Amino acid sequence: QTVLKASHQFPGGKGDIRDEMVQMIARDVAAADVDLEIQIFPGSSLYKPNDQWNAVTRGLLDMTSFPLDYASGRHPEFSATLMPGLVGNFDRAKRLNDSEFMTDIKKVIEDAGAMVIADAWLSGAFASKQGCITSPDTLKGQVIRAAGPAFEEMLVAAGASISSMPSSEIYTGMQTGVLDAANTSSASFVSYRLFEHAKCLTAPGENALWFMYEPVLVSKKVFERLTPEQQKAILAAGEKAEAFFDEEVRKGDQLMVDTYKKAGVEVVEMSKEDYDAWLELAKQSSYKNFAEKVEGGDALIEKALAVQ
Amino acid sequence: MIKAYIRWIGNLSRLFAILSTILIILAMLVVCQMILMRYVFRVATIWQTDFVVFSATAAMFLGAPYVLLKGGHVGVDVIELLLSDKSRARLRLVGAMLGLIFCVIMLAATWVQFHEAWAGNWKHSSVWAPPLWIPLLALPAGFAMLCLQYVAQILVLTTPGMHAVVHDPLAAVPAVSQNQSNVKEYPR
Amino acid sequence: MNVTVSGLLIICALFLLLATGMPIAFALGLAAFVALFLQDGLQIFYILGDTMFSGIANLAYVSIPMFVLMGAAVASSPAGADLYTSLDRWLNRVPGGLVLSNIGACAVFSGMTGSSPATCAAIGKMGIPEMLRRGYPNSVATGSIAAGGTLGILIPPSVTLIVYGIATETSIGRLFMAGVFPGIMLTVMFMAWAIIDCKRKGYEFDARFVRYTLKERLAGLPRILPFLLIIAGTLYVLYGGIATPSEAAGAGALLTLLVVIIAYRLFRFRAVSGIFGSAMRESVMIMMIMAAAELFAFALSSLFVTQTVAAAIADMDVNRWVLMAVINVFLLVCGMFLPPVAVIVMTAPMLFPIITQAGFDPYWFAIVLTINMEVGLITPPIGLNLFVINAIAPTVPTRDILWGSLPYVLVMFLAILILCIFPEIATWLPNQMLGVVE
Ligand code: NA
Ligand code: NA
Repeated sequence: QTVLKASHQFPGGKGDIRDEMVQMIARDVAAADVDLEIQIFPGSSLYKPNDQWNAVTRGLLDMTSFPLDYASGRHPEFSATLMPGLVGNFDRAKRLNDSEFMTDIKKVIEDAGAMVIADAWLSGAFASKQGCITSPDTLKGQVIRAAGPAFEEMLVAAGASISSMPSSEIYTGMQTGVLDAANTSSASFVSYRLFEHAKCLTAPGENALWFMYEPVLVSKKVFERLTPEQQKAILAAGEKAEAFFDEEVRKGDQLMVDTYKKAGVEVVEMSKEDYDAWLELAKQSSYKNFAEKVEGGDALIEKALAVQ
Repeated sequence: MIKAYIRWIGNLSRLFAILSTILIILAMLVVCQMILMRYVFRVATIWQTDFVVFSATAAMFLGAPYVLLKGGHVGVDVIELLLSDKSRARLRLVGAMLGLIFCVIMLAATWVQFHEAWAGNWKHSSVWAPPLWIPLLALPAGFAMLCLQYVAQILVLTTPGMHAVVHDPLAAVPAVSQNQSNVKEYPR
Repeated sequence: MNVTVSGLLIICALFLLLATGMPIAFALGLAAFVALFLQDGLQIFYILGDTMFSGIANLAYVSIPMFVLMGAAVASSPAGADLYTSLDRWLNRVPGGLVLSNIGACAVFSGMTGSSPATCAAIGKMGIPEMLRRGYPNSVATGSIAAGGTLGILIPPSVTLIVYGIATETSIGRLFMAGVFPGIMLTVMFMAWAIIDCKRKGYEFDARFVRYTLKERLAGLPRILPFLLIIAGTLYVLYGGIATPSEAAGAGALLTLLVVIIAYRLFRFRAVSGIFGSAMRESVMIMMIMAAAELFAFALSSLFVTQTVAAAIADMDVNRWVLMAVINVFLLVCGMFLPPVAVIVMTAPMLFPIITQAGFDPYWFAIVLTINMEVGLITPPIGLNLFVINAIAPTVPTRDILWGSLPYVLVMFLAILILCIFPEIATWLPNQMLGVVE
């Protein structure tokens, strides 16, 4: 029997969708009865989040649920997968998966030695102690903890100060006043109980700025060594996990909105005008930097924006 | 010849230690600058976090050879205490050899890591995006120096009468109490 | 290879390597390498560097050298002696007063450093000779310092709580707060034991030795002022909305250096370089052990040993308090052989899910774990505080140090027991100040 190692940084067995995706794949592959077992190492219990890329592309790690932007230092193109305003909403994320943009990204992934078996776009939100973050000028002068370098660039352009800290410190940061605002995934907004200190939440909705690509990757080296039956089982399990994720991630957003409303936090969404204002700002900051830093970067962004 | 090697390596380790200390001081000052910028002037801080993390981490690897020179990496001395002087010296030699083996392994591994970062022009994924080879250089440098320092220690242990001349490498005292009186000297 | 076999092999390899007296850090690393090499072959050369580097390249870990630097600034200057003598002027009439001054000084000093060996060294180098001079037996003099020094990791700031916070993704600011009352409680318990012990054996040296007038006593007070200033300043930066815990460490270090340099006019290069030198040495020692422990933990996890042990503990269908007792015995054994940071790096990620599953508060558990690790600091074969005392007082046989510390170990067990009965001692302050978190 072949044993594969799967690693991710999210809490294991606690209902985190990314963990559940990997668990599902492990269960389905076992059920396919193709002599394949997947051992899951959740919560960074094997590799540190950033080290997973090196390990999976080298074939030391077999599978990972990996926020692709973490490898953007090695493949700057990946910054586009945590780029403000490039996704917008879940339905568009699905269309994006089949676009030329993602074909280009996946080509980089494959050339590096890994392959995507399940797409996953995670949504996120903003919350503040001061007031509602809608248009760019509502953030001016606030200290915010952002998730992702491209976001930091845009938020700085909007006149915010950035404080970097692990997500586990956000709660204390907002409590003591080190932070005025935070930007992170919807799941973290619930699990870290930020509603106790937030005054207003900007939920993803139809015009969401923050999306992060966190696919399930398999090492190509390892995959090629498997039998055709085993390969088929993995791909089938990946497809199923992808569908599961797409459904659950929307429920997660709803759960966040409900939790915050129940806690008496004002919940708003960005209007189309707000979104466009941010997009304009992003074009002058994050997109511009990306185009300068990455060869063919502007073309990549255009391809993403061209998706309907 | 041997004496000169031991002295030179010791001095080189001290040089690394000075570099390490400077990096720690810089990390401290930059942290304070970052706090000042953000909470007094409300200005965005872009490079500070990366700088602080990488300089402090590099400092640890660069300082390691000097700490070895000063006997500051703690180990178990229970077995040693039970042995005769002669067996104790032999055990120390075995320990030094094993330490050298580990440092050689890590030198190779960290060189591979550094070289890939250098050749691939890897950057840290952050807004500042500093090239990773700069902090990663501290690892092969530190482990190379550790290897040289271990060789010096082994020479001290195997050359008769050497520790009378240079007892420094084997002062088996924890780092924290180095600068206090009554430092035990080898051989006890 | 079978999981049990490979687990036993790697542990045996570690013990054999440790037995040679080689540095713990390198022994951990070499044992991990052998295991990984047997499993994955030459490939692992690609990840050894990553694992060690990213194991310690973390903003929160930067606070470790900073909190060590804070301690070194006080320990390597006349500040430590002042703290000690001022306390002695107030406590010298109490039976065993000098022991109390020592423990008290250790507790105050703990508020300025994250490290136990540093606390031990700072107070011990004045405290032990003074106690021996006034006729206290070896065991009392060294035991109280060895134990008092362990408070360094319980009373915030604390290196072990920082490592725990990172390993388990809990808030370091909150962990620090959880340590305050247990730290005070343990200090009082240590003092109570000292009084009982000295009364019982009739050590009444202090009162006969020196008498201080009220004026002399008051004159000593301003000297404590700089310390209070440092502690208050750091706390303000930490909890006043100025900075995160990791950043506060840097501010605290700079503040301490400035206060010490100005108050004691340490304008010579030599004096200041001594402070940095000793801080660098201790930080490097701790961080190398941590980086290597990361490698060892990686090997254990890669061989599925960690997961197997965790599953075995979790599957024990027992009362949660029996579970807690088992975990504590397990930690105690680990703590005997390895320094606290190594134990936490290797076990916290594994124990954390079990603990929270069983309904224990993770912040409360951090404190229990820390007291448990304090025990490890004064038990052979690897007890960092014992090494320090050995270096400060080479004339005192190790046996005397061990006998002297043993009662304090029992006091620590009692403290763990009290914390189990009244978890609020740890959880009340953070809940009060930072709100209740599930
Ligand atoms: Na402390
Ligand atoms: Na111990």
